[in-house]
Amino acid sequence: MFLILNVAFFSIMFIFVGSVGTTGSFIEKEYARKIALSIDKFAPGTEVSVDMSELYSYAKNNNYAGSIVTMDYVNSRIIVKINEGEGSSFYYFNKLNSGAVSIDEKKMELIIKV
Amino acid sequence: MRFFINKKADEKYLSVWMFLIWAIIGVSIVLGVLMFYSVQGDVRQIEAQLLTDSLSSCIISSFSYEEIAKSDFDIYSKCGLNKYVFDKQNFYYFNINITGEINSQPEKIITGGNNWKTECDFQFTKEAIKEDKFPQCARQDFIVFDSKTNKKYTISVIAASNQK
Repeated sequence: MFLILNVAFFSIMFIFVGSVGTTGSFIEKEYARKIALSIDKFAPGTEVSVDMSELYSYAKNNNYAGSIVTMDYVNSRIIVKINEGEGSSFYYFNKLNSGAVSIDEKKMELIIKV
Repeated sequence: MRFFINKKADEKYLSVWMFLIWAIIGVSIVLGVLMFYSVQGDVRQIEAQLLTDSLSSCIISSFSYEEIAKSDFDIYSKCGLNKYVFDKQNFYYFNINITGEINSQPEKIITGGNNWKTECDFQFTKEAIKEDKFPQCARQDFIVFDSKTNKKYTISVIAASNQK
């Protein structure tokens, strides 16, 4: 009994440690930050593409068909969602023209025209 | 193996103490993992550095003190920054100090966002320990030459971010 309980406890801990970094909210936050930093990093006139295939696969697993990346150009905010929740948002300080960010659905890439 | 010979497993170990120890171990692991990911996701220092770089390169390119000294000089439109984020969100701060060659007093100070000058000055002191609760700051000092006024200017750019 003692052994079984021990194995169960440590298995739960291992599963927790292994899975926590790949949960939806962590992935959303990570991508929101990554995209915001890409916008702030590059000089005006640069075109940057961000691979979104991982986000697409998470959204598919969650049966989420809505918009994965939403841009709020007025408030300089980016919102990433891979499920029906609120998603994760992050601010950037550069001023982007409206329509500067687009998604290439075929290549699963986010294209940012800084 | 001989340690286990003639030893009998006993349910007496399944006591309250054992569950308590498991709870302590479990809570420690959960806290440790969450702390690890929160530290990994902290990009404040990177953002502060990016803002410093952005402001510095914007000021250096075609530097003209005359233009900057004007009362209607708008750093936001000049450097392509969104004024709304600096004014309405409590995430960013910048301070640009322009000092002339002879006079050591700043000739022009341009600031924006939250006023975190004290926090940044504290971080730049030699003895400062990294204070996680403070916004993270970055600094760049450089000298520019203005061909119109034929003068050298020392520029100090400080930027901070507190977006978690």
